[in-house]
Amino acid sequence: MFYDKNMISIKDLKPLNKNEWEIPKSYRQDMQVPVRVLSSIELLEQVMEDRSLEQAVNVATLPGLVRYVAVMPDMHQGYGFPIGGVAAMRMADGVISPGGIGYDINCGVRLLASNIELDGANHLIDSLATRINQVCPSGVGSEGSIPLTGKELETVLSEGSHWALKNGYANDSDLDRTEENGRMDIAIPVKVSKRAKQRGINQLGSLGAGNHFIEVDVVQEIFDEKAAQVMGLKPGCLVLQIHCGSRGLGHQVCSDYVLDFQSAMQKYGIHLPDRELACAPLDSLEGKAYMGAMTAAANFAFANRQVLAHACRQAFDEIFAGHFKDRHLRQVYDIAHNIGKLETHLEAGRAQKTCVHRKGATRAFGPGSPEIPHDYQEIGQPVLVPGSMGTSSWVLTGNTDSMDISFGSCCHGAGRLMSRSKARKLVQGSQLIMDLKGKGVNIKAGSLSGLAEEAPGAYKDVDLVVETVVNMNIAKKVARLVPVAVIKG
Amino acid sequence: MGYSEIQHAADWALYVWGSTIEELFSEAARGMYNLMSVEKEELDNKTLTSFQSPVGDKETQLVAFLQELINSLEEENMIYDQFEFQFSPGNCRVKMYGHIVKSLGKLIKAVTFHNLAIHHEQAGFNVEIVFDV
Repeated sequence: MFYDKNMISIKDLKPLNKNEWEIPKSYRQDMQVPVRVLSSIELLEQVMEDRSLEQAVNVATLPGLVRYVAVMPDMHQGYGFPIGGVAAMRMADGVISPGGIGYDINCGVRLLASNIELDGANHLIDSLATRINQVCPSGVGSEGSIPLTGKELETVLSEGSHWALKNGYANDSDLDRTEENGRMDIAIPVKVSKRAKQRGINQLGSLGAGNHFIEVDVVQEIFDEKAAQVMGLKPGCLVLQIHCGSRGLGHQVCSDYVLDFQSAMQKYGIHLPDRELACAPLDSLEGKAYMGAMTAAANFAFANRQVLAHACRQAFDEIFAGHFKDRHLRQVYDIAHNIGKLETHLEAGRAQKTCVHRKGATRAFGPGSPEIPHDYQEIGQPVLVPGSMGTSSWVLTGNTDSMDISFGSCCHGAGRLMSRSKARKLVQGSQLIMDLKGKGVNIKAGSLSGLAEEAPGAYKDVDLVVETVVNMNIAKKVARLVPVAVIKG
Repeated sequence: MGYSEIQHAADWALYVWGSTIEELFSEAARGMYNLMSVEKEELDNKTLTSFQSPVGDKETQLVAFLQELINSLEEENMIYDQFEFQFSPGNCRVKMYGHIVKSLGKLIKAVTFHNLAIHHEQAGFNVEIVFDV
């Protein structure tokens, strides 16, 4: 049995310009706002193959939405919210929806840069990948490198990367160059269930599985020399990406509150077309409880990526000792792509306090935004767009136009094109490893079928996705990265 | 009774059916374990445990039941293959018999409510379940 094809067709979309389309509010009676589809026509034709637009229409029925629901060019079908969906809810009368943030709360990407040239390091890449694989636990149910006591976990939930700084896993620049400085200070750890804490207590410093990875890349091309210089990106030099989130703790928080909110919706008289969109008013006890738990889980994820970064730094140091004097990995930036953020956005020309839900979408604030680090004030916030395994990844900077177009948001990756089951049938994991090795990419993978699901052909063309956001002036290109080693669970 | 996998762009999904609600829940569990490629140790004795869902409708009970199985898998390395259900209005209690896990392919992160609606037709019960992977 298969899902029915998307009921929405291209003729239902009103073209606003080459890269923006609208599904008007009149499309369905229960829509509160329109849907703004940010996509080239080429990517849009792919989108019609799944139900992401129908899901976006469902999101548009939520109470308290500002302007419209936006979907990014890397959108694909999710459950509840489409992946690549952005929805800003008014604090005064809007709702918060755990499904709109995702099970992997603060799944995100961290980028670190080095002065190590690939030319001189090529013969050590396999050893580096092996070492990273050893010191960064990955795979199904992986336990972390740092077992915590209950009290320590409470501190991590409250302090995020600041816990890592106090315990020697971070430096000040790391925190400065992390979204929210690595800590959401409205976190309320007591709103995280005992079950969620049980799941997370042994997972700090672990990568997990699925589409999570650590990737060693080389900077292939620079498009904005000034921005690259500020970020510390040098052509031909190695960089490192870490993609993971809040592990079992975050998953449980989301599960707990999606379940809780089933009854909250009845209490507040909210009726929605999809129960996975379950929500509660932002100013309700239930809404505030989830906000407190979600931000605590986000802090866990910041700390998790920080600990993994520390382990990768040690790996670089060990492997390149005696070969390179400067072996340090400097933080470029760390961003979230499954998160709820309190931000101010314009509605009918007036500043409105909102909770922005980003599910498979990243923040992309432009130059001069007070929320971004001092170092990046002139160039704008780094936006990290990892491609699929074996393809390029991108470093961009946010533009101020993103605030008008997409609530200060950008794409988060390539977006899936093919179901996991189809990918497993078409691709042999072992053959994929050989194919990628032939292209100079060293793979360390815990699961061959898991690897097959993440094959490049299962994803959209990330270069096309990036071209779209750049053409829309949401972001600017800084650098293109290509992989030399991929570590996956 | 039975289950089959549904194509989904990013995650896993099942279509499950059964003559009775008990069969539906049992098959949903079997299907979910099958997606995760869970294998059990054959020679150990069966372990008994029990679970009570939070108060809610049948869909809520199903999500909570399956989530409990995922949590047991992750935390205790247990797979359950025999169930005795007791349904009362708004409530589901289940005695579960299971084994230690021998191997696991890929862990499901969560059970979603997306498109989740248990249909009761002449032939029995059916439901579509989407899992977060």
